[in-house]
Amino acid sequence: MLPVLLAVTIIVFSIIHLIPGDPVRLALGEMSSQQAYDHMRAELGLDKPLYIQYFSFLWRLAHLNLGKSIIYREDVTKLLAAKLPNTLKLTGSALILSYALAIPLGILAAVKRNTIIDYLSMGIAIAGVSVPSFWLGFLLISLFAIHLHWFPIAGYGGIKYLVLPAVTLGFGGAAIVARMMRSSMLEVINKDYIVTAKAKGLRYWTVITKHALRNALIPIVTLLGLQVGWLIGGAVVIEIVFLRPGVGRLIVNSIYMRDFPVVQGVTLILAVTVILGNLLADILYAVIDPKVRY
Amino acid sequence: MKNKLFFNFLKSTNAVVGGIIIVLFILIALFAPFLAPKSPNAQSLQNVLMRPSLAHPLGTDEFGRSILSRIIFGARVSLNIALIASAVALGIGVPLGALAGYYGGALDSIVEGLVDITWAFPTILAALAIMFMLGPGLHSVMIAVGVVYWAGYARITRGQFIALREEEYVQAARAVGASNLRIIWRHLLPNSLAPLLVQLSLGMGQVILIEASLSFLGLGAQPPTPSWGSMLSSGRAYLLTAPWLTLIPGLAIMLVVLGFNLMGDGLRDALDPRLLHTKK
Amino acid sequence: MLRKRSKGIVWGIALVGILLVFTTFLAVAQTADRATKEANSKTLVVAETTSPPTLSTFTTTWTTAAMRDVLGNLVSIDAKMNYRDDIAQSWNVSADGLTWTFTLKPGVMFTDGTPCDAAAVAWNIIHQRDTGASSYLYSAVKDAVAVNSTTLKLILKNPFPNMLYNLSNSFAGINSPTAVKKYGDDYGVTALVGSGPYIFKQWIKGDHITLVRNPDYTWGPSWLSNKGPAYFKTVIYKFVPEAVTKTMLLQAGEVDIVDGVDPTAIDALKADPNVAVAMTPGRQLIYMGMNVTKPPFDNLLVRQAMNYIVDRKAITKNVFHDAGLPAYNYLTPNVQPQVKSPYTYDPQKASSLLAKAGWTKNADGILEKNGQQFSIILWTSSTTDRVQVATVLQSEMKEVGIKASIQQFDPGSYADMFKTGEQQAFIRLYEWDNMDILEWFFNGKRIAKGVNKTRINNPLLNFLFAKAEMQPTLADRTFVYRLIHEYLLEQSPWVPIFYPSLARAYRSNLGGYTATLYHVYLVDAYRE
Repeated sequence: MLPVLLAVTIIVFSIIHLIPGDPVRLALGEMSSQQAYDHMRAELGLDKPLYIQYFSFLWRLAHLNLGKSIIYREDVTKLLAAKLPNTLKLTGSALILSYALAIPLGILAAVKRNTIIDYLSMGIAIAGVSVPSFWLGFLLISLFAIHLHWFPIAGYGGIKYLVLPAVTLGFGGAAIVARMMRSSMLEVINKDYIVTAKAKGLRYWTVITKHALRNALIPIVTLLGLQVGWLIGGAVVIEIVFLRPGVGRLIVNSIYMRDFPVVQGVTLILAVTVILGNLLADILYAVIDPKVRY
Repeated sequence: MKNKLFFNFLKSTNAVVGGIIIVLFILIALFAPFLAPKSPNAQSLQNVLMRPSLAHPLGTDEFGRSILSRIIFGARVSLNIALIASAVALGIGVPLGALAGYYGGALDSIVEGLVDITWAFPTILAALAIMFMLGPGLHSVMIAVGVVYWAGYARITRGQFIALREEEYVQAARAVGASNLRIIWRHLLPNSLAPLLVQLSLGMGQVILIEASLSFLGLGAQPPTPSWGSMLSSGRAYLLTAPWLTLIPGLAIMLVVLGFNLMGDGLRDALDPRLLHTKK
Repeated sequence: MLRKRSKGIVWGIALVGILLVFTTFLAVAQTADRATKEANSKTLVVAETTSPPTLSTFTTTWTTAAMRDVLGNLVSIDAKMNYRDDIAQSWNVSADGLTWTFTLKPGVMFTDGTPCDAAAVAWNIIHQRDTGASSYLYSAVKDAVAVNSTTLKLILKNPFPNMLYNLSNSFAGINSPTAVKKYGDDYGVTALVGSGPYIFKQWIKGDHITLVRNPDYTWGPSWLSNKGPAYFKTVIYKFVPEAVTKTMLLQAGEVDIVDGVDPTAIDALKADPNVAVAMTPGRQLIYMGMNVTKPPFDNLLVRQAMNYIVDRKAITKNVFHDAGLPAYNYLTPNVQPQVKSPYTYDPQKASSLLAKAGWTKNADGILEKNGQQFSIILWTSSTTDRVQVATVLQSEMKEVGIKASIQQFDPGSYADMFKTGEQQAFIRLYEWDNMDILEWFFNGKRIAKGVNKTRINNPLLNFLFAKAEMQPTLADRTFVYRLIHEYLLEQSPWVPIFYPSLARAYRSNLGGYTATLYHVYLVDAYRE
């Protein structure tokens, strides 16, 4: 994990310095004085050679210091601490929503295999990954906020502000889960013990819920970890559409403003999260998979 | 084997629907100049934001351009993006995956490491950063998306190669002294095509979506290129007064991506017939 | 006599009595009026497009409306564009134009409890001049002297008629010196202390700024009707980058004021009975600049031709929905000196000028000269309105046989691109409302830094700019700038295209606010 993270820092550092643009000029404004400009560059160490800047970034990182934002003049950790909870709320509820939608759909599709219900539920699920999320977001806003007044348009606050963005983000995630649920369920249904249970005269739905579901859920659990990266990527666009002050909006603005320390710091944190998610998936799979089946 | 795959594919309703959509999409892209009523870039400032009507079948945009014509020519742009970006991704991913899977060892670890690194970045952010580096424009979109998506193809190729390299026919080829390149090219690669095809089909849809997201973030095609993503993105300001500016390209994107996804799904089912959605 | 006098006294007492009753009544009515207004006015939400990096004018030249509510200025500008009192009650300037004397209002306090007196103002000016990002504001100031707590003398190096403009500028807010020193690097980040009607409370970076009422504020500009503290207890400045989201929030009543309505939203908002749209000529110009040192725009005739191919009226009406004016001048509509432009929409005239310059149409309808096609790259930033202008221009150029391809840049790298000198033609927007902008963009000495983007280096212009700086009075300065402006139009380094209006929209139940070109003053604002 450490070599990967080190590579991540090098890549992010190189890319951001290859992007044309001058954060100091952007922070100060075009008409700012040369002396203020020079002063700020020196203060931030931006007048030093790139490799020195990189090593001082690593040095600070080793002390758990992500540096200071060039634009906002605030510690990156402080900025992150303010934004991360909002992103976690969004991605967390989107995750819950997508599973709540996808698992029943997947079961239904598997149980009613090759009926219109199967086609429809899989169709809905696939439609979820087939729309640009910002488009879906704006459509949901026009329908549920503008016309029906059920939810606020954008912003953040109570749970009512969370519904539309979470649905927009969760809808996309549901497809993958539903598809996985269906195939995993189909696999289990055809297993001997289910067939036996059915032959024993147990009621169909009892068999499905008591026996099949439990086993079919195993691969779904491992999907959780893998979806972390996907959710974070999705949050970038959703936070802009719904005006949520989260990490996604922060990082896009920071790229626009060439706020190197923020981009470096936030990408690193996101990369760690994604890698931990993958690790979690691996561990879960190893723990649950072979032994739980009977 | 291949015939069976095709047969299974035809049995899957989803796949057939998806296939029809994609064929239509390709035909529209190919014959765009014959199908479009007007030039996609012909402006008419006297006729801006016209509602869909007989004179303007899908309405006009903020410069009075025919949305129908732009959608038709946009199919060309989208197909182009999907093909080239996927080609870039395949071009990086398949050779690397093949090397890793065939030779294993240190090479495998390196490729695996590269895959992990690529996957550590949220896709849209990685594409965004590369776009900033290259500057806006369709070429940048293609490169950025290709670079971001290579890892999936590498993983699949590697997995297939590892699974296949101990197969009898590969061993046999090796025994008669076939070169590594020949084994890879004649034996391993053809037998890895099916899962790659599934990934390609799903990936093409993703590419079109990513282009739309990049346009939304301000980095898409150069105007006046009629890309669906940039139509959708520039039309969103008129959501309240002229919703057709966003609805129509949005639906076009949805339909085509749905087509790619259904087709990919159908292909996957065809590879694993137990999962098939079939007509009884 | 006595009776008369006593009668007089009686009348006098009666009069005093009546007056007393009347004033009491007035006072009671006023208090009652204030009480109702305050009761109805809890939180005001203003939507702005871009969020600022920091709020300290010493460390950035970005400004945001919230800064004006927190900081006072020495001088204010009213809605009719007159210089009026703010922290300074009055001022005069010596005959040689070298000494400005300001009389400050007594008792003005910063919200950290320190006095906003002549010494504090002098400190602000000197601190900005010596270390600030906007030091150019006071580059003419030799010294700022606090004669006593309410008298401030500015001693200038040279006569500078633009002084009041600079002092009323949003970059020239007066900060509490104590707070600036106390917070150091965090000033403008976690703290902002001034003497304005509102107190800085919280800033969620990139999202919103929260202000609360300054209860002691009684020294506002005299041209505002509310002489006491503001009615709204809380003001929130919300940063909403999406044009359509701003419109939706306003229509739903989740936002009270939109500062900077997007042209695309004007029609929808005008149709809404709950919203009032106000449009006044703004401070912005969208133009196409041309690099006068590179072919094909090194040819004067070609540059002039470009000024004839643009249908500014059609762009104004159909692309920008009349949210602005067609532009023919280099200075924005409120700024003197305005001159008469020779250019109109006349593609035929353009074609004949191009022919005169040696460009003739080939078989494909594209202009050619010595076997070379007229093919250019048109730069623009990826900001919506500029991309729109570029898109229309590209099509209009095509009509006269010019092949233009558009190259977008994101706003963060756009300005830097001009240092390369590779630009041919480029769309830009500037926001300024003083004639000195011409010097900024066209002085030959600013080419290397990429400020002078047309790279024009004309001895006559350079001479006139130097002359203008030395004029003692505004009238003289304006006279020189008129010559400059006329000469520039003839040289045609720019194609002025569109003046975006300053468009603001308010919820109809909002009353009292006073909008100027620079700011919506919220002291008077209340909810009905």
